[in-house]
Amino acid sequence: MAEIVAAVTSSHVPSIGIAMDQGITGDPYWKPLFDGYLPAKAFVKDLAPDVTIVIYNDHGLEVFLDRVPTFGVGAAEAYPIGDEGWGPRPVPPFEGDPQLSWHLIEHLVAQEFDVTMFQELSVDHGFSVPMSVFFGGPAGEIEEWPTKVVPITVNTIQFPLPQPARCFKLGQAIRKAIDAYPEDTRVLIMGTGGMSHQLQGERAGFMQPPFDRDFLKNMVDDPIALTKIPLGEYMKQAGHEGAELIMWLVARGALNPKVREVYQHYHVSASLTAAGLGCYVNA
Amino acid sequence: MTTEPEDITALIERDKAVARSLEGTYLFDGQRARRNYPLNKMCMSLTVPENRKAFAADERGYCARYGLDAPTTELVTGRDWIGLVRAGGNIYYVFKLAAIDHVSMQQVGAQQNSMTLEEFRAKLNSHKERDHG
Repeated sequence: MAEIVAAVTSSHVPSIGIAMDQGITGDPYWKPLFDGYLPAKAFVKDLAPDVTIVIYNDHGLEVFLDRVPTFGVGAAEAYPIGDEGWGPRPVPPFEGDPQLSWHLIEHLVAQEFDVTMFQELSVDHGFSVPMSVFFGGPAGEIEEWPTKVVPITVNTIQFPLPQPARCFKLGQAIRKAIDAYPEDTRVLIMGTGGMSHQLQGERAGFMQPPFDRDFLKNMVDDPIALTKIPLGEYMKQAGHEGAELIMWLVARGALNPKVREVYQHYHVSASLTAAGLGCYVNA
Repeated sequence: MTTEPEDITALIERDKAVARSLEGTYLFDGQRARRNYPLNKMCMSLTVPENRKAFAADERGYCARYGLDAPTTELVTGRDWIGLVRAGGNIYYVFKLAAIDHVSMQQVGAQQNSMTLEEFRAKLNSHKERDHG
């Protein structure tokens, strides 16, 4: 039977990807962040997941405003690295697991999560940067991804965004789907985005470390409290773009009510973003 | 427990009211997404390398093909980031325009704040002081 072996969460800042791709992770600006990632890389390596379900948002690579799926599931054989406007990141494409994808789609829709289905999907930094963070070498280097992937997209670009509680329930539904998957598959859930940051408007550059620290604490202690924070408050406390934190709630929902935090790291800042990371297992 | 319709209206309005109360924040909702759709569509097109070349060759002509009005075209050719956001541009699409010139998000952020890059970086770094672990 399939098993969710852990949930990990990380910011997905483009400049973290640029630092890896340009080989400048040892520079004084970046070193503290990348040193902080090392224990998470070791944790994920030991886990050796067969498949990683990556919860992310597309930032205008595949999704334009002509059609905006609230939730989507990738069901492709492979996921190419997209060109977001500055050329594709120099990392290998991702191998999919269509069998698990379609199982997830069937089980999510049966649980009344009416997801959009993608049979073709290229992925952007929101997906590839956290994958490099967890699966890349110390400087993010990667020859071949050691895991298959299933992308799950969440709309965080155009309001209305899904409610935080709904995102948590999506995680619970993913958990049920994996529990019902008959293959012996080790599944890692990866929630991406956040933490506090704002990119648009005169408030660009806003961050809120105390809010982020509380959020990290409640990922373990009281995730239900995080689902009750209104979206408006997320925007106020974490920034217009920091509302991406709802994707961490998807990952958290896929674990037991009680979890153990294996590792966390928090760093102010990676460019305009307070960069957070967490590793959690069922208690 | 069922939620009464008036509660749902209150929920939506509560979130929008908070977002609109935030100074220097432009809630990107349906109203804003409709307001300058051509601008966002033009920016989105720049993910295709051939389109980037066509844009670079004739910025105004390219904007005209996407139906941008004259004031918006001025914002594009002037790389007026805050103007583009105010005009309805979504920052993720607008940033594809910045990428053409290899302008970083920090530079875009600085301009939106009417700061030099150094001043803006100091602002970003200042958040460290409010992190008490």
